[in-house]
Amino acid sequence: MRLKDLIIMFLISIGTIIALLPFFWILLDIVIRGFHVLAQRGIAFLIDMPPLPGEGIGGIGTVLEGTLFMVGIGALIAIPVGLFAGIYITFYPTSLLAKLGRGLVEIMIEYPTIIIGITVFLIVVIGLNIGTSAIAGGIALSIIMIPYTTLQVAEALKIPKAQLMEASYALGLTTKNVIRILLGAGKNGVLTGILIGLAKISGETAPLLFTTTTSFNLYLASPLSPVSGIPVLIYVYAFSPFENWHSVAWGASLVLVLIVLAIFILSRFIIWRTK
Amino acid sequence: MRRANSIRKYFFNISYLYALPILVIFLLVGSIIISLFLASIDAFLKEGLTVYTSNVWDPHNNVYGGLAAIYGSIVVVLIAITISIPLSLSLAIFLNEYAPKILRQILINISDLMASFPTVIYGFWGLYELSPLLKGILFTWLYENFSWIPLFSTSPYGPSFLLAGIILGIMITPFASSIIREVYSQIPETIREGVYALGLGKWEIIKVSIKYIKSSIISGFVLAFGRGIGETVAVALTVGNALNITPSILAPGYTIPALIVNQFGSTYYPSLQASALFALALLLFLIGTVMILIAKFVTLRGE
Repeated sequence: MRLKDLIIMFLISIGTIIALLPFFWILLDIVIRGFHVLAQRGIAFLIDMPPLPGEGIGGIGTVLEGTLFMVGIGALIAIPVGLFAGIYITFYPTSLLAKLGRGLVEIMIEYPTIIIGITVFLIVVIGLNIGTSAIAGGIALSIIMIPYTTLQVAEALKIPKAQLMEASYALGLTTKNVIRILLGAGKNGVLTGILIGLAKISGETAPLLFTTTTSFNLYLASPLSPVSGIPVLIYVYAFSPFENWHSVAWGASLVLVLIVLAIFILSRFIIWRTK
Repeated sequence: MRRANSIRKYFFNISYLYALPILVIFLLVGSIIISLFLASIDAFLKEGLTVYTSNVWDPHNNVYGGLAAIYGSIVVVLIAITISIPLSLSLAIFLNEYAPKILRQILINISDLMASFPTVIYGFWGLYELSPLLKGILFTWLYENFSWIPLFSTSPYGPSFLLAGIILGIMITPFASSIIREVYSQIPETIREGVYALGLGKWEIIKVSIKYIKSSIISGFVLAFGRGIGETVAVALTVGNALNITPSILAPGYTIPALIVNQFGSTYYPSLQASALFALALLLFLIGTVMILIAKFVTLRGE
């Protein structure tokens, strides 16, 4: 091998290591520090309320509940919208509506999520006079999830469409049935798309800062009452001067990472099984 | 007759149930633009464009100009892109040129996981792990040896333009690299065959490949710029949150999203301050949209 080729290989390997190193560093840090906190409190960490400054570790029960609920609402809105929009884009790729819709979704996926948070604040929290609430947080998360799901569904249906659509129509099936067949064939891809959207919104902070509360001692009372989320707690506690709040934030980081990791691994498992 | 038929087919074949969500998406994007614009009118009427061009943020006298945050946003993203260019290119090239199949699959998964990691965690880690470390080693070294360069002319203070830029660079690398990696893997085999036929090696292959996908690489980094400038919490945690316009990247600064999240909690709505924040959000939105359009344009022209 020539010297030139060795040098470029060396440089590229170094660059790759530097690019990926932070991930392992962050993961290791969070596992070590977070495990320390979780081990101290055990399962109570997932149930109890966050502590007052200087008063132990407590738990993240309130924000865990909030995150699960708001992500649930987000998914409940985003899945049908994304699914049907994705189907439409795949089925009528030449229609003006689908072309514009696709372009818009591709732009929407790049929007800063803080913009979505502000808009939901203006329209839902103030405009509809709902106030900061779990439902407003869920709506903000759903808007972030919609473009991910739409594009993934469109991608997942592309191949089955090319392979099966003409055959299905040739059998004399109606559009409704053809769509059902395609969804069956592309179901793993569709599921993966939904999971990727879920992983994305589980860790979102900025949109929740505008639509829900930053007080962490509220359990969910009703969809219209405010409740906070795990990422918001990490953000606020990171800025605080209190040692015990930092510990809670490390523990919360570990829980959040485990949630995202679980969703991610599940999605890869589905892809792997499909192959 | 035939025309009437095709029109009828067009209108009746489309299941409205499926078209509805597309209309919902139109409505969403439309309402984002309109509501941001309406909410910032107050600031434009009272302050005009000085809401963007002056560097005063004074709630006591009710005067608001966000120039420092605009400046900071651009500085932080430029640092991030500078860091990200060699790293994401390396990663994309490594995956396509060197990595054996299994390693490639593993690294792609790690890179994708990195891209979908909660951003608040990067910020939290940056503030408590990276910041003390860099301040003690890199920042101090830069200051002691290069403080005659304006870029490093202020004494090191953990959170800073540079720290936020590094964190953001780490975050956008997997994103930019995934775009490059996809295009790189689609370079026609004939190109590398040509290079080998000339008796040349990897060095030339990589050089030719990079040249071949140049426009996609550019559009990838333009998109990364758009993502980076809108990143909120990770940057807010590490940038230091001080309204500073200084050439020194070791100084603490502010960015548009950081200013918005930090001021929002202490703002009443409606108020001039809130309206000024919305005007900054509108600017952020416009920058983001322009970046996406540029990226699309560059890709299209490259094809």
